[in-house]
Amino acid sequence: MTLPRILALLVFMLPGLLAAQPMSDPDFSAGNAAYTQALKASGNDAAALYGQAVEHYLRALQRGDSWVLHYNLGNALSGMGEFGPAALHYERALAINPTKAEIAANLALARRSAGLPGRRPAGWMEEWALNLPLRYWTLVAFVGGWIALGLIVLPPLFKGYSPLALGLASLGALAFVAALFGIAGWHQQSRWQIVLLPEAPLLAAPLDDSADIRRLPAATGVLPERHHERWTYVRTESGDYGWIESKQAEAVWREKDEG
Amino acid sequence: MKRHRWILTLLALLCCALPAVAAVTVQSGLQPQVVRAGETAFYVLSVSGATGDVAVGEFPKVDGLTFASQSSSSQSNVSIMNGAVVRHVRLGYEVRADKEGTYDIPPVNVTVGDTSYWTNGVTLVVQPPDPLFQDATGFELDVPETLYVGQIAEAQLRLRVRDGLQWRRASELVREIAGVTVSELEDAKATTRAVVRGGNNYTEQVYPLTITAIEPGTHSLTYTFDVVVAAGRAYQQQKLTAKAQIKVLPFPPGTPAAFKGAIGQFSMSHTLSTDKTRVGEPVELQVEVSGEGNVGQLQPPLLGDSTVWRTYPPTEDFVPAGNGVTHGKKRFRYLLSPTRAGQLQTPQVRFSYFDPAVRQYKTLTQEGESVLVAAAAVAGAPTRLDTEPAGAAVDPKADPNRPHPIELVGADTGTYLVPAYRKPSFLWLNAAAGVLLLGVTGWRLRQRHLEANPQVRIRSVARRTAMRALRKAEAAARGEDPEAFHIEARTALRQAFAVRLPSRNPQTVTATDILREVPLPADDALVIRTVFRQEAPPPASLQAHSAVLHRIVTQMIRRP
Repeated sequence: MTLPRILALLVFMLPGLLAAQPMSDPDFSAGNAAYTQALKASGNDAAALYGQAVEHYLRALQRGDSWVLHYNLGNALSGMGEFGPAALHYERALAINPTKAEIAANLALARRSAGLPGRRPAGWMEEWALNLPLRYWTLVAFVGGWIALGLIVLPPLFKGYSPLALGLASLGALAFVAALFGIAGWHQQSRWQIVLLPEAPLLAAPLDDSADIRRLPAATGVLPERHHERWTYVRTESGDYGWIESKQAEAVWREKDEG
Repeated sequence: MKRHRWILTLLALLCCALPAVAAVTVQSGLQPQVVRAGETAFYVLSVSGATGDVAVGEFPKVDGLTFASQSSSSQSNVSIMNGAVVRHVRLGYEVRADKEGTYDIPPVNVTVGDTSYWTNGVTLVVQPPDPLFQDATGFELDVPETLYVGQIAEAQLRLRVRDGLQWRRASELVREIAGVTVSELEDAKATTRAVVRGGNNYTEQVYPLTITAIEPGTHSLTYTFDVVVAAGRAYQQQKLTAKAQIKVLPFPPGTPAAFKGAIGQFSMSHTLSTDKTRVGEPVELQVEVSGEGNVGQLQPPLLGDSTVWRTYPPTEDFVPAGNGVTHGKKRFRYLLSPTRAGQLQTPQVRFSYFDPAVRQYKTLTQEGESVLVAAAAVAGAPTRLDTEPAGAAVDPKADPNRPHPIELVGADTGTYLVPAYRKPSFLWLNAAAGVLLLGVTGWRLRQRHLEANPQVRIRSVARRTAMRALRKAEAAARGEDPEAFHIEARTALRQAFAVRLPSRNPQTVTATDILREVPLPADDALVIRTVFRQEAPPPASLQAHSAVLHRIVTQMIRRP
């Protein structure tokens, strides 16, 4: 982790860290207990315990998103062999806390288990965005932008530009531009959807009896281009275009607060 | 004399040799010469003294008689007579008459070497059949009329002997078969049953046979053997023949891809050894085809193409049922090895067969089973994905195949998966920041404007002070407090005057100054003077004074 990143995390995450309380959600604890038992069990017993853990985590997630809940849920789903949903929840955990290396590692493992490369192809803006969560990029853009604007607009009205004001304005502007790229990167990330089931057919046309272009492994990332009835025209992470049934993929990000 | 003796000796030798060369005899006879209708006699042809090849000419046609082929009673002997090789040939031919009568068999031409001879004529007397042995036996072959190439069908050979008679085989069973194969007759599999035919009771032996059609066409099947039937001291040898025809058809066009020669009626099922495995660890798919037809010869069903499963040729075994040939089930065990992890579907299984009953191809399809395939075990790594104890420290760079454990300490929750810039609160926050900046800017600009223009500031202060004093004066008027009214009214008028003339000290302003600056009607001027003279007006007129004061002050502070 680079020094700027550490500083940025300290500056922008400190309030959150101070405010964060250990989760006392009973479903979280029950999910963890079921998962731990599942590790020691085998066969159908293990599958049942993983299933219990998944239920508890999902119930806890109804009360709010948390990277820990999504991450643990991804682990439980991986234990069940549900690599598509597992990748979806790892991606969500990563969206909330992209600095946690364990999430990226388990996501890569789930993708490899599903028969995919460990990482989805990403542009430089998406890579840049991963340095901070979106909400922190938004905060940086807000604070940096208004500081820069204020320090550009207000000094002439008072005592004129001072070196300090100019320096702070430059820093603010720099942070604002950097945050804009981060937000743009996350915006690109937010368009991805994850294929949930293995062998999802990528069809040539939005018809039930259309020919398959290829079969998509679970956890494949797809970018929706347009919709037609219950079909979505997508570009896959490998560059193929085709139609999939809309319900076969789920977006990592949400359009609005579902709670 | 010596010379004559030598010639005589030569002549004597020649005389001895000539009979040997010339003694070729050809004879024919019947054994027996009297038979009953339906019985068989042997036409025996004997050639003695043959020194060359013996060839029998064509038998003459005699109505009512049937000559069969050369029988097993034919024999040939060779001897040397007077230094020459001499053959004695005895040829037997079966001859059968189905109706009573006397039959003359004319001479038959026989060629011995280059010389042609004629046999003697013989007569066969056929008496009426013995009623004791009439309808004594029956011999039938029961086969399907049509079969398709490769089809296996059941058949029966039935031997029927009337009750009260004894019988035994008198010859081996001879069968003439073409275009099909027929299983061997097995006495052990024969069953015995009682039947009634023509009012007679019979004991019937049923020999099960299995017929496999080989070549398209119409083929004849013939089973022949001799039996001796006896009742007490009387007996009769009978030749029994069972004939049948079978038509073998080729397959109709439109053969499915999965058709491999299965004919009959079949059903298919399958089982999978497990629904969980690991990449490279095969699962066993057992496909069971059961039914009626050529079950034993079934070829493995076809597996659908799959890029995620590596398949191997199946092992197979046949579990017979019923007659053990056309009934039963065949099991095929495939090994399927997953090549990648995930929730995979095993390949589809297809089996096509031809149903001769409806003369159509049919295809049975079994969809694949879902198998959970975990990642392959990596050398040096745990064999299970989920064997990591919770909380164990794992370096993902050291081993990317190890999953990291779950987090046991929670984090704060929120609506993090909705981008902050889409939230209304973000818009409100920015709006507030913008308003704040605009406010500060406006306020500062105003400050600077006031600093640059002191009269504006004085007017502003005077206007505010005048308005404040006016409101207090009006309150005093409503409270009928003349003294307070006068004080506040004077302040309001002086400050209002300062708005007009900022350079003037408001404390020095008099009623005259005001009336000079602002032309007022006489009544209003009186009110101004009253205020500045500090004369207490009657309480009843305070309201009227207040109204006049309001009008004057607002007129004076009105912006130009």
